[in-house]
Amino acid sequence: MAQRNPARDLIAIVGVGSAGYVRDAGRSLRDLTLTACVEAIAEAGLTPSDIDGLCGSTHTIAPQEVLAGLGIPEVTWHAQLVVPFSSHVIESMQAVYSGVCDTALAYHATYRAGGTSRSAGDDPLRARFGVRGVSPNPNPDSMAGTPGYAAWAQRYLDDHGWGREDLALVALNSRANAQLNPTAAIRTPLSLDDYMGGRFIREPLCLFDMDYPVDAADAVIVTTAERARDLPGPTVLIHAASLGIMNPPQEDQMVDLDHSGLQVVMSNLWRRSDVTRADIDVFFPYDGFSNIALNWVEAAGYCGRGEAPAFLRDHWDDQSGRVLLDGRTPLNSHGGSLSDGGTQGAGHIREAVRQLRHEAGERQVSGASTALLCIGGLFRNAGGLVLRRG
Amino acid sequence: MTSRSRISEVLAAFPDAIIDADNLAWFDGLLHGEVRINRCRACRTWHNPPGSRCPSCLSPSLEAVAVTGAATVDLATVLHTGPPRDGIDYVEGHPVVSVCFDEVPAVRVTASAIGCAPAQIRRGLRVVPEVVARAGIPTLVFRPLEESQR
Repeated sequence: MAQRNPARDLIAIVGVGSAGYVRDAGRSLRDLTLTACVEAIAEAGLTPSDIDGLCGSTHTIAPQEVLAGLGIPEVTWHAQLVVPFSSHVIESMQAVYSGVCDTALAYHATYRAGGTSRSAGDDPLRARFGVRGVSPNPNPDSMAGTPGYAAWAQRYLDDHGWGREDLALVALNSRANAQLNPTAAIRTPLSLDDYMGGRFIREPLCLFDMDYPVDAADAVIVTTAERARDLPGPTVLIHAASLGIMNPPQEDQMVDLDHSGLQVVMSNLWRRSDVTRADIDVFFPYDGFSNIALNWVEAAGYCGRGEAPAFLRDHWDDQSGRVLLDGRTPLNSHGGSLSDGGTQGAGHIREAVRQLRHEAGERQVSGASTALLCIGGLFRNAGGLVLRRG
Repeated sequence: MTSRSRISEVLAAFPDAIIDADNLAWFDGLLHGEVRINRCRACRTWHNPPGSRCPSCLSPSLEAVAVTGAATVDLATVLHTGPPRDGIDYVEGHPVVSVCFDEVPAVRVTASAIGCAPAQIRRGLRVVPEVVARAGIPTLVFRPLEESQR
């Protein structure tokens, strides 16, 4: 039976906003969030009173605070969800498609909480903020959360005979792309020697394999394609979407790298989609940790299991120091979580919309009309979107 | 059913752990120096982490069975950051491993490893369990098999 996809191309993204990605914005989490929301609403050609749905991340302020902060008179739908941000866009799509609301504002923000790093803890306002919104696993002997990603990275390297220099491809690609993105948080050139000298955080992952902590916020406006036609900017349509969890989902119980949420998302996404890999102009394999991007490239079918490093080398553009599939399609063209800044997929979604609206400046892929977003990780939060220019 | 006094004893021994009716037997086992893994009384399937029902046949009739003998490391990482604890040196590196016991190959059990350099802790390493006191708290660790026989 063909996969149902009744919402295909009927729901649109009509605006994105960003508060900018920096190490220290000197502003509150609230202000970062509202700044991104104001920009997204303005870009869509709307006013706060046009918003009747709100979908925020649990990292930042609740929907009623955004409503109060922006003077939105009332909303008929709201939700606050855990990251990654693909979930917020997909939930907003569903709310608009069902008619519970007409125009949803989805938002996410990150703040370098004082309780999560020594350098952030030196800032008195961050220290007072503590660890709100972030809850590190208190068990030091557990694979739950980030240690599980490191262990499966090691397993990937062991299974296929790869090494750190192969993980490095993802970090070098992201940094080279960030150099083309004036709003990326870290744009200093990164060499393989720099990478190999990076201190270990969770072996085999070093500093450069892990998303770059930032003060940041993004917001996205989701409405019907019909309504979008009356708005000023180019429209971006949600062509297909999927989330995915595979059993068993625990970090230390997952069967192997062929049985993760990534496979669920990709098989479902391709089944629901009229487009194929050959149609993808811009590709976003999530790089919150470098190894996840390799896993996504394989799960999306660009190459076989264990072949991603060789595949990336085959498509490496020496001149720009990054991957260009068939000399054209970049991976994480904004610099990804590793260099644009770690915002749990929000940056990837913003960039996909910018590329499809042909607003990506120096890094614009000429004539980009289809984007593949592969967001989140192996265990409990994989999600994917195919977006098309309307 | 575990007595109220026994529950209090377990809670007092593990002040930082999140303990509920499903994983009480795991922590009670550590207090007895044992590794207990949940097994379904109906279909005999092992599962971990401890739950309230068998994920294979949905029976609520489970038993926590003490497992013994050797295990093989299946997943490994070395942490250089994490929650600060007495007895953990993140500069040197804190190994975390997930192992499969010979008698329960279908599930993994996760703990730290001691008795060898972090660099030696790789997939395939043969280990045995041991409950040690770390900062006064009973803590499951795995020790390389050869080293434990010395």
